[in-house]
Amino acid sequence: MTIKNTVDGQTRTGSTSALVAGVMGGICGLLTFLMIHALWITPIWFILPFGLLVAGSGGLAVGWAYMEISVRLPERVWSRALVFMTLIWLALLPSLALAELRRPMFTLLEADPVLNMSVPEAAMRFILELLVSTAVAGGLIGWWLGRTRRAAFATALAGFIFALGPGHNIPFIGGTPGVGKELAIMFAIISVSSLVLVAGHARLAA
Amino acid sequence: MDRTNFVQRRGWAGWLVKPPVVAVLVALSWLGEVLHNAVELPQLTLLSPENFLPGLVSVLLFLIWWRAPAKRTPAAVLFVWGAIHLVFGAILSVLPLPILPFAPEQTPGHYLSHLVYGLAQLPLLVVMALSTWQPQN
Repeated sequence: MTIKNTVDGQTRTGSTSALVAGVMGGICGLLTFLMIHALWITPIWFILPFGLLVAGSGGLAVGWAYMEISVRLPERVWSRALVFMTLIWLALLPSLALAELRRPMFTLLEADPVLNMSVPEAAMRFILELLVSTAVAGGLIGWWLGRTRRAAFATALAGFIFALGPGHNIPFIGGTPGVGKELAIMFAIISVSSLVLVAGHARLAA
Repeated sequence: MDRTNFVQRRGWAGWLVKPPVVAVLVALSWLGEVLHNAVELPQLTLLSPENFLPGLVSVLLFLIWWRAPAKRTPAAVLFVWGAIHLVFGAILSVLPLPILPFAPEQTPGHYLSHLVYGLAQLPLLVVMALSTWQPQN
């Protein structure tokens, strides 16, 4: 299946379907996260209704970003999904790199983890090195691909929400042995949500 | 290219951004927080700073929006106010983040109160977003 790359198709006729597909992708990403969490860590199904709010609104933002840059993505669904996944990883890359390069926020002891810095410093790292850096990286990707302020804003918002949702533990887990598990979970969420978004959009817009 | 947005195409623009409607949306946004506080922090009253100050800010922002001749900037500010409630109040403050000055209870009831708090922000966010980004004549 392919998706026609026309400016008009991208900005108008495909808009509602991209937003709906974004919400579907967000919800599928949430279900993937909850399933893996239940099997690998501990069941937290009780967060599902709240998670639907975050995943639904986040999916809406990601769907909008997808719509804004859609005209620059490949036409084949699988290639398009692969490129979109890569773009999400690119947006998250600065925060992942910062989390790994900086000293860990915590020392993991047998009891509770001990914070290695003051709470304000940790909070600033959370805001600047996760939320802001991902939003800026997302915005730059949107500007690079969409060449409009709207595309830059949409992708910045999507990056911010992606950092807030699936990525909110990046600065806390960085530099600890939990990084592998975190990356594996994020890989599953990003892959499933991107594929559902792209395939869902292709079906809805057909 | 068609420059009208969702609201305009359906002729809802005038109705959705009438002052009484926006007043209700702003009140709903504040009530979301008040309801959360009533459930999770029952010792607070309506005059406690945690309830009163956000209410005061909401009233001020609404009055500025209402009296301003150009609505775009005040609408954007109201949008940001709703987004702050959603992101920091409803979402971040329930996650088990070690940087919070408190340990949010990880229970279904607590998540439900944050869900209601978050949902209460959505109507204001949607209307203010559409109002902010509609083309100005």
